[in-house]
Formats: sequence, structure tokens, C-alpha cells
Amino acid sequence: MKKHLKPLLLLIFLFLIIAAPITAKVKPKRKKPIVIGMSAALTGASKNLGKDLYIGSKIVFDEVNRLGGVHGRKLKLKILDDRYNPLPAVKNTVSFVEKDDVDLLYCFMGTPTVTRVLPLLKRYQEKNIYLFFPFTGAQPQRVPPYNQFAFNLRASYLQETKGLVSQFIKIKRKRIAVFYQSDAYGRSGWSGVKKGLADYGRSIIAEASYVRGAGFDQSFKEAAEYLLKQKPDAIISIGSYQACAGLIREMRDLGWDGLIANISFVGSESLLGLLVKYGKKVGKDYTKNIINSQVVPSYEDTSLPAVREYRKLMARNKSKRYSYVSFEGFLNAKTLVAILDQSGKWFNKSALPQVVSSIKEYDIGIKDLISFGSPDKNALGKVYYTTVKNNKFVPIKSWSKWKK
Amino acid sequence: MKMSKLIRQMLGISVGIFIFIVISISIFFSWTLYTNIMLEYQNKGISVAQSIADSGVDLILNRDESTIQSLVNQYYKNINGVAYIAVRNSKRELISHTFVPYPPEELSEFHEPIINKRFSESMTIQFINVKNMGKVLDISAPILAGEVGFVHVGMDTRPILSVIYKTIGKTLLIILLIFIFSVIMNYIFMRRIAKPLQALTEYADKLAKHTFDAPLEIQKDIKLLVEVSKNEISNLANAFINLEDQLILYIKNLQETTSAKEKMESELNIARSIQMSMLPKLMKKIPGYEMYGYLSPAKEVGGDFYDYYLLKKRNSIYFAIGDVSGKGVPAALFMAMTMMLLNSLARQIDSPSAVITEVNRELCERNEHSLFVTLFFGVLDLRTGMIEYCNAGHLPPYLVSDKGQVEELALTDGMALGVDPDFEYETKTAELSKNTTVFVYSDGVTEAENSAREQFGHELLEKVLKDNSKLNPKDLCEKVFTDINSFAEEVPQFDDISILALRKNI
Repeated sequence: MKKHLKPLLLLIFLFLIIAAPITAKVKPKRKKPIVIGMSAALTGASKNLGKDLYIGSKIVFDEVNRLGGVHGRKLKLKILDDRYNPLPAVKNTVSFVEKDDVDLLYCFMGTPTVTRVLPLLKRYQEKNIYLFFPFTGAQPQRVPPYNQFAFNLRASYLQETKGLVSQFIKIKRKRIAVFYQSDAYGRSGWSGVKKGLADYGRSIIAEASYVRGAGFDQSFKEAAEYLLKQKPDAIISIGSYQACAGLIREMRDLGWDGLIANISFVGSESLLGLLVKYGKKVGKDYTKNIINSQVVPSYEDTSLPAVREYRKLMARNKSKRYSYVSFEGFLNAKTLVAILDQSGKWFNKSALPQVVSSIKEYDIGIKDLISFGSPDKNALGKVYYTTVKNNKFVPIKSWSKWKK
Repeated sequence: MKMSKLIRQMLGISVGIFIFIVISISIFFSWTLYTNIMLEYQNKGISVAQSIADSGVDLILNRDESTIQSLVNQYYKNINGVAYIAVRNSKRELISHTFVPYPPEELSEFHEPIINKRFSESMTIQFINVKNMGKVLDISAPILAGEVGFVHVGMDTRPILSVIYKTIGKTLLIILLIFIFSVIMNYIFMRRIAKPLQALTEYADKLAKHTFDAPLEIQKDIKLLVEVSKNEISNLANAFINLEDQLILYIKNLQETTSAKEKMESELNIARSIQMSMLPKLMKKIPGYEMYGYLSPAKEVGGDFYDYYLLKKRNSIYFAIGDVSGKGVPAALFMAMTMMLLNSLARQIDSPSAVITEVNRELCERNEHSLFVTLFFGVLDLRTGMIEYCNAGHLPPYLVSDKGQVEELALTDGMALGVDPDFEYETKTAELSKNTTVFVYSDGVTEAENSAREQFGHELLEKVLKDNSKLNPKDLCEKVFTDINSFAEEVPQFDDISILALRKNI
């Protein structure tokens, strides 16, 4: 035996010398961060939404990084302002891919912006650039040909508007008017209301629009009077918090106190903030009979683990931006982290679609389970209805008081 | 002020031309610009509509409304001049548009007939007035012959008008600036003309009042003008200066000539008085006889003469009348010579024919200019009353009796003096009766003309003599002369008139 020890040691020694560099190559680089590109409105009329989404996402990624990252890789969130306009969003996307060499795109804000960015995803197909959980309920990234490049968590506007229409019809409010933003977002919501009413053999009785970027201080009187002429039972608004608050003000000032509904993108807290402030100024309550549909549960419901974690992280970051939107950002981020975690140590961008579609009935802490994989369903795909109580949007328990 | 009138006229014309240019350019420009820009807008709208119609097929059939809306917004935002874009589906419902807050009613009504056509191949392009948008060029294009839907593109014409106004405004401003500039240049140039013109006018005024003894002060300034500019003005100025200088010279000449003439005239007057003083003085009374002579030269001095002289030692009077060819100074000088010769030779030579012959010879020697003189020479014997006479080419005298008989003395066949130096003259005799006058005259009497160019003639002369036969020589001569004058009327005396009358009273 001793006779063979020397050559054996030599062999092991040689093996180690040769193997080390080889094994070193095969091992993944643990220290390179996962770069995440996010384009949203940080300035302009819808800046609150961008800021809310950002803070909601950031608290998650910071926490993950604090705990060592995903499989040792830190998450680097890079955000660029697009002012809620399509051209800057396109420029940001190009910059993310070509300059920053992002691994994925995340939580882009808005319908007109995302709709224009989608063809770029096809363009960057070879680089396997995917868009995760854009903050828009519009159809373009949910249907072919672009749905293969995007993953959606939230319910679509179609679901929100159809849901609202169903609820209104149930309480006998059949004359429904639409107030919408004159662009792809507004048109998307409008389309949803139209389809929803068509299911009941009805159509929109009046519609009026406004230009994207309009401020609360602007007059929406002409639109309001036009809608009023048709004597609606309810108005569904597909707009920004500034314009929707403006419409509510006009309708109430014209003496109409019917139901006005807004969808999730409006930014409920920002809407409420404007109405309360103005109401205080003129001594009037503008917060009655407002119903907002949401795509995430209430961030006040501390029975939900995700809510508790959200509130904990928000407090730790000393942020006051408690809102449905920032909670949605939180949930988006948590889901992304789960997906990245699932991707394993050897994170491969081209494998992402498979990883995502493998996530079924997953619990992110809101009791409702999320399931990816169905092409026509959104992973969360649930609509929640809220109304104002004590200057807060709370879940609706009963619709009976609005029965016509 | 003459200058401002010129400038006012220039300004008036300039403004007139400017206004005409402005109006015609404005009209032409606006019309051209409008039609061209409108065409461009139309083409732009057509290409937008066509583009949306083409991509709309796939979008409407396969995609959702928000994608169409996104496309519509893209075109609406990026292309200027688009007032609206609207897309309809196969059911003609508006599925995407840019109307805020809602589509105008007049537009929906306007589109009705277009979109309800069963199979539409082509675009419909028409103007429509929309509230809050003004005049819009609507371009409605079918998508897949209307089977998939329709697209409406509205082109806003208001920018066209503002472009036109801006362009015309700029153009008019440029024209105005050019106009102002040209007025200023015109003004400066006019002044450059007007000033010398004014100077020339002043010069002309001064010339009118000029005495032309020396060039005017202002001529120096005008000369400067000529040096400054080389154009029609300087030519005019030169002409003026020339005029003045010529006038000065001319007037100087005129003055010299006038004073020479005056000198000459005064000399002629002296010559006249010399000539008149050569005539015989009034003869002292010779018992039984009366003589009177009268001479009226046509000019200051004349070629006629008369003479008489008492030849004491022979108891006779010679009397003569002569008519030198021509008039004026040459005739007068020849006359003087003839008279002196006659006077001197008549006193020395007894024979009248010898006298005349010798006078003739002497005259011919001194006659470079070939003058001649007709002469009547008579010698009256005071005792006998017989006249021996010689007529050298002269008109025969009349014998006038106091009974009114008038008859001519016979000629002596003599030619005028100064022609043939060797001519021998002969005499004849005649008797001077009691109360008979011998009336000698020159052809100035008979050839005196009136305004009808009739001559006094022998008949009238004989009549006058006949009627006044009783008068004494002085009265007779004066009467004849008066009659000649009244006959001649206004016509000035053409030829010298000389008359000589000699009367025998006993």
C-alpha cells in the first residue's frame, strides 16, 4: 500500500490543479446582482401612482437583499421616469436593455406606455426580456401576440368593468354612462364597460372624455353636463385621480349624487385626498356614493399575512404611502421574488416562462391563491369592491343601500 | 415752395404704386398660398387616413380597441394640422377617436351618408364647419371597402390661415421697409435734383432782372453745380451759364453798336446840316424876279440838290437841280462834289454847255463807284429874260404862266453826268415871260407813291401847277410839297424831293 501512496497523492494533486479552474467556470457567479428595470411616472399628473408602486416594490427588494438576496444574488431595482407618456417609456426600455443590460422588466406603469413598449419585447425576443406584472389592466399584453412576453398578476380592466357593470345591473342601475381618458387606457376601460353591458343586451347611454394629463383644477363641466343630459343611474370613470376627482366635483356641484365608480388604476387614496382637501375648502362632502374597484385586497385587513408584512416594512421604511397601489407594488415584488427563487441557483432568463407557468395555487399571503399558466386568466385575477367610509376606502359589505 | 411740390408729387405717386403693389401682392399671395397649403394639408390628411385604413384592417379584426386608440393618438399627437381622427367598426360604431369631451353632432350627421354607402371604394373629401374647430377638411376613408370599418381624419384649416397671415404679414413688412427705404432714397435723390433746379430757377429769375453788364454772383454757385454732377442738370446749368455769357457779350455788342449808331446818327445829322447849309441861301431881292428852292431828302442826307447863284458881272442867275443815283451818304457826297464843281465852274466859264461838259469830265475822273447824276442847268439873263439851259438826263422843267398854261421845256439830248467823260453837251434857249414861273423838279415828286402804289405822276403835278399858277415861288413850292404829302398819306418818302421855282414878275 505505501508503495502506491506517492503516485496516488500526485494523481490527486494533479486532479485538483486541473479540476479547480474547470469547476470554477461551471460554478455560477454568485455576486452579480439581478438587474430589474422599472419605468413609471415619477413626475406629472400621475406621479403618485409611480411613487406608490416604487415604494411598495422597494421595501420588498430591500428586505430580500438584507436577508442575502435570491440564491445569493442581490436584487437591483432601477427606476426611470416616463411621465406617463409612451415615447419616454420606449426610450427607457431601450436604455434598460441596451445600456443597463437588465435581466427583466418589471411593473411598468400605464396602458398607453405599456402598449407602446410591447413591440420592443418582441424585438428583444432573443435576449429573453420579459415584462413582469405591468401596472395596467389593459388587453394588449394579455392577448396574442404579446402575451407571451408579459406576465400579469392583477385582474384586467375587462374584469373590473364587467364586474362593476354586473353589480350595477344587480341593483337595478341600468343606465350607465362612461367618463374616460382619451387614450388607450380610457378606451380599454370603455371597451370593458361596453362588453359588460352587451352581455345584458344594453349599451353605454352617454360617454365623455378628457385629455391625459388634465389637472383637478381644470373644468370638466362640459363633460359632466353632457353625461347628465342622458340621466344616468351610475357613471363608471376610467381615468386618473385628478380627472376623476374633477368629474366627481362637477357632478356633485351640478346636484347629481348618483353612483360614481372608478377602477383600480385611479389611485384611490390620491383621489380621496383631492376630494377631502377641496371639500374642506368649500365646506362640502364630496366623498359619498363613490365605489372603487380594486385588484388587491385592503391593506388594512391585518388578518392577511401579506398585509402585516407590508405594514411592517412600510413602517420600517418610515413611508406614509399606504395605498392600494403601493400594496399592489408590494405584492408584485413578492411574486417576482418567489419566481426568481423558483428559478433556482442557475437563473436562466430563457427558462422564465416555464418557471412562471409552474407556479400554481401559490400563496403570497392574501388568502387568495395565485396561479400562472392560463393564457386568458390573470394570476390573481380577482376584483375587490371598496367605498369611502371615514375618509378611507374600505371593502363593501352590502350593495343594498345603493339599490335603485 | 417749388421743391416740396415736386416731392409731394413723388410721394403721391410712390404711395399710389405702393398701395397697388400691396393689394395685388396680398391678393395673389393669399390665393396662391391658400390653394397650395390647402393641397398639402389635403395630401397629408389623405396619407394619414390611408395609413390608418391600411393598418386598421388587422387592428380592427385581430386586436382590441385600446391598441387602435393608441395608434390614433400617435398620429393625432405627432402630425400637426390634424383636428381629429375617428375610427369606426363594421357596425359603424365609433371605437376610437380623439374628440374631447364628446364627438360633435354636426360631424356625426355629416358622416352618415358617407358611412352608409354599401360598397365604398374611394375616399370622400369635403369641407365641414365644426363648432370649436372652425372649417375642417374631412377625409373619410373606408377600411376594406367599408366592410371592416371607416376612418375619418379632419385637417384643421386654421393653421393655414395663420401661416398665410404670418407670411403675408412678413412680406408686407418687408415691402413696407423697402418702401420706406426707397422713399428716403427718392427724397434724397429728389433733393439732389430739386436743389440745383431751385438754384437754376433763382438764376433764371435773376437773369430776367439782369442788366447784363457782368456775370451774376450766383453764376459761381451754378458753376460749382456743374462740377458736382454730370447729368442733365449739369447740362441745363451749363446752358444757362452759356446763355448769360452770350447775352452779356451780345448786349455789350449791342451797346457798342448802338452807341456807334448813335454816333453815326449824330454824324449823319451833322452831315445833313452841312448838306443843307450847302444849299444856297435865300437870295437877296432881285427886282422883278423871285426864286425859291426846296429840298427834302428821303434819308438824313440825300442825293438831290438845287443851286442858284447870281453871276453879277454877267447879270445873270444860274440855277440848277440835280439828282444823284442812289440815296443816302454816297449820293450826298457825290452831290456835294457835283454841286461844288458846278458852282465853281459856272462862275468861271460863260458857256453853259462848256460848264456842263467840263463838270461831266471832272466827275468821270473821280467816279470809282460809277455814280451818275441827272442835272438841269439854266442860266437866266436878267435883262432879256432868256434862259439858256442844258438838260443832262433830267426831267424837263415846266413853264407855268399865271393864266394856267403849263408846258415842258424841250430836252437838249444830254445824258446824265458821270457816264461818258467825252460827251459834248449842247444847250437850248427859252423865254421867261411876265408872270411866268419856271418850275424845276426831281423825280421824287412824280414818283411819290401812296398806299395803293399809285404815283403822284405828271398829271397831278401839272394840275397843281395849273391851279396855283398865280402863287409866288415860295407858296407854289410849299403847295406842291403839301399836295405830295397828302397824296402819299402814310407812306414814307421814298426818294429825295427837290423843287426849284423861279418867277419873272415884270
